[in-house]
Amino acid sequence: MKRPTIYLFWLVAAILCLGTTATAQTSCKLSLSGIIRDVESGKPMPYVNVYLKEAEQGAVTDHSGRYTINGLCSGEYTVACSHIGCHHYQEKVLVARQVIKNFTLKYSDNVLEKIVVKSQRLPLGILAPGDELSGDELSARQAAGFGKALEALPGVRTLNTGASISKPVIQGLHSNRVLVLNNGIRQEGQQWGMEHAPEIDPFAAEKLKVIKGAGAVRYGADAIGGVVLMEPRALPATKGWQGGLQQAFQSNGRQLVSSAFVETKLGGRLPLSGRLQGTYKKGGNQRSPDYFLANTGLEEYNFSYAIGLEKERFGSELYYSQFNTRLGVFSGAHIGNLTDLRNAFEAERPRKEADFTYDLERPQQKVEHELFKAKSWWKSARLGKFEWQYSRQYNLRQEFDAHSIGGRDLSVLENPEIEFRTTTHAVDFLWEHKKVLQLEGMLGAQYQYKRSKVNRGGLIPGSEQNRLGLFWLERWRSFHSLLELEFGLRYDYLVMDVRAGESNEATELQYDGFSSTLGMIYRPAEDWRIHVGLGTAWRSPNVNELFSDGVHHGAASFEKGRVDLGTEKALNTQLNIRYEHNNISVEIAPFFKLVDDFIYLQPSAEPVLTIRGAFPAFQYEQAKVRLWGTDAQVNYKLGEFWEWQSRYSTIRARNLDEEEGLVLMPADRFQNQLQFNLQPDAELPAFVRLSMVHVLRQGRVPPEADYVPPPAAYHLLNLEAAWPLQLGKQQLTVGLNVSNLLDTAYRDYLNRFRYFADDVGRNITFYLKMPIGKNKVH
Amino acid sequence: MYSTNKNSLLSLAVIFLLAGTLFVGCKGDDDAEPDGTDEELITTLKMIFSQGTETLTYTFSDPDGDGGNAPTVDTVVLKAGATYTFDVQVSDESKNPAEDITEEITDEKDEHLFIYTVNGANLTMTIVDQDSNGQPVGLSGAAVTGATGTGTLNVVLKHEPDKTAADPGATGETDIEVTFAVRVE
Repeated sequence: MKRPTIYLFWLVAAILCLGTTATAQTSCKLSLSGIIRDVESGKPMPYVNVYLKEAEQGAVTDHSGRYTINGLCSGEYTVACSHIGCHHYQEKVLVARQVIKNFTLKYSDNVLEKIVVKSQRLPLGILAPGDELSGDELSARQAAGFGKALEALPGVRTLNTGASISKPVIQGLHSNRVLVLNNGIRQEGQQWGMEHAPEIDPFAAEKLKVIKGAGAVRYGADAIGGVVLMEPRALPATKGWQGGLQQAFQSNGRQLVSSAFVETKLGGRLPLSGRLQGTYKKGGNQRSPDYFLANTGLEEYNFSYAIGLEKERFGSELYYSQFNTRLGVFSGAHIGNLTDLRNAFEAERPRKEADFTYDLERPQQKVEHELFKAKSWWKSARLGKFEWQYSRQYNLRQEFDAHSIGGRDLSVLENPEIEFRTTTHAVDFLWEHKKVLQLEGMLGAQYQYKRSKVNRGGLIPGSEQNRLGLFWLERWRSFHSLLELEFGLRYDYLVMDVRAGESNEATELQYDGFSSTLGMIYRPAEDWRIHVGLGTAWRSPNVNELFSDGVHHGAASFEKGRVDLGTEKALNTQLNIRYEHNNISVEIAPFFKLVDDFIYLQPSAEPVLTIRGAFPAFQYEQAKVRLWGTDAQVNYKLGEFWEWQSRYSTIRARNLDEEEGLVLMPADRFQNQLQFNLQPDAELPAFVRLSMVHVLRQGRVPPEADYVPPPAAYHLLNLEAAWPLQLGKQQLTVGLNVSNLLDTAYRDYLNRFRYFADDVGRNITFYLKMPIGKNKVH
Repeated sequence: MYSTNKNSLLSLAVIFLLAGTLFVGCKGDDDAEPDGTDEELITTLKMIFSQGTETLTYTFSDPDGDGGNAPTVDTVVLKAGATYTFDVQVSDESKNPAEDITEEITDEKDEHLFIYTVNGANLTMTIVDQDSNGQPVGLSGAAVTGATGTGTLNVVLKHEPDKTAADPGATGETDIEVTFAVRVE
């Protein structure tokens, strides 16, 4: 297909549709809209609740302070505006035609000046407990990569392969049990592999959100562990151009990262807006406290752009992003058989000595991911909002082995030993109905076609997959009530064709099932918020679980799939209790999960004999599994300048059929941090923060599932600081992060290279963030 | 500097659109046929013992590679109190014609080392060939048997070992590790 033609088609379609949306106005199609500003500074105020008492209808202002309430009948209304820390404001307004009414609000004097403003309205479909990373906390971590940035959120850990491959672990689960949404699109990469990191540029995000537990029927049935949402900035709503520049340098690996974006909006008849964003990253060999880690550099370049058109009732958006990375896989981790693995583990330091270099050798990985998305919406005054979306994703993954047996034929040196390609097309339809009897809700249908090809390497076979999903969500929310409820139901049907075995004949596999969620937020008093999430989810077995048949290098194990595996079914219970009062806030989030037919690798009694010796064999099996745990957090403000935070997270996982633990479960983790705020009253924070992380030894591992015992407990000290500066008219923020401040030698159970080398040592990151342009972006 | 000129904004938007058409390369659609044929594989190791005109060949063979059908392993049967010369041959018999990997090892002698370990049986394996640094390679050598008995012969091929180390077997990466049953009669 010719892409450019499709683009032009969207654009023309979008413009044509515009003409049809000018509708005649009858008495109950009136609207009230306007901008809400701070009375003193005149700045627009986001997240202000605007409520019409008589109509029992409301809206929340967007980031430019705008609000719109549609579908009003003519009459006189009492408009109430409220905002955290502001005086409540009320005024009578006569609505007889389309009315634009601006308000100003005044901050109360008895409230602390610096207030954390959080949107009270959660998007439909995710009324489940979760956390998000945005603003300065996000920009301080973007240079560390997508997975590592998420680790800043309570209860989120990463499963690592060396220092450059990190996957998020939520409630002890990862890979295909965690759904990653890249700008509203289900990420379809190669998430099944433990050494396959999400193919996403963290600099493209304005927000990284994590929903814990099976709480997202809107996006798929298979998020047994949780959902990670990467949300880019909204396209600019005000005229003019603006942008931002971010630079970071990491001492360990001498890694340089540059990221920038520019965006603009045209006004008048064509309210078109657009953004262009790009990131470049290059790093060399990283270092553990005592030695360099050979071949651990990386090179990455990513870019994305978005073009949007927004009218009152119609909007259209195109988004494209590309992710390209080439990363070295630590040479010391390349082994031929089990004896080599034991030798590597017993050695004091890795066999391959290395110095610093930016050069990448074999073994290495090369990954490309592209996403194209076209989305349009149309609002009908009577029926609500209709949305449709098309997306195409293409993923290429190449793995280059350390050496070819016997010697190297230079002609094949450029060729990878393993090559997977996946192309995914998806179409989504969504109808968000008008609020009826305090009920907001939506119905959706999703169709996805995915084709995976294995061009080289016989680890898993290629497959074709068709998936249809239907879902329905309703949220009950009243401005008067302390309670907010949401329910969701989803049905998925999946057909997979796999060509496997010597005969290469197609095996057709079908799976289907329902998933559901129930969410509740209860605010018994101003200081309390209780969040409950219940959910069921299911996941069909992945191709590797069905058809693997070979030695998994690096793990020195022989993995065998089973074609008769059934689906995994999970029941999830989730609680989040938050108490905030004056200078203290406490958050406790326990969870309990039961998974029926959980798919895992079970050690077999008989090893498999190969020409490289005998390998321990593992077969994919299913068992009933129980997971439970808690993430807890306490913040305490000690006076004006000091802040204390303690965090604890724990998980207990058990295979109930075999009466043993589960592999790769995060160990208990404590974190204490002390923060000094240099300018507590300033708009942009300046702080110095020292944190102590203590990770216990994971003792609850199943017997014979691993060759070496889990590593010992460790403590790390980290330092973070950020400081906003004003250079003439230019505003900028500089920051410093020092991880592993004391250069402690340690190994982490969730790092798959723990057999071969210590984890990375001290790393000093210096970063700079600079808004540019007319409308300064912080 | 920050004045919002409508023309410049329009041109910026045009740039966006151009960028859009340029960057969408629609990366190689995946109709390329799988070409996973040049995968490197060792399937067969042959130990060839010679004495005068008599030649005995014992094979470890796993033609379908890892997994699938189990490999077949011959029992090495040698005469008691005899002196043989031995050679080793490595090949990939999953390909047609079979690929001789011994040649590749011969070309890179300094990067490879065969290690022979005998358990139980009265058999002594001595490597005679050397690489350019005067270090052993193990593609050929002498095998001397003593009294009758049984045991095992373990053959390991190391890639990039430290040949000067006290235990070269603990260094480098293992390309082959096979064990034959041995009977001296």
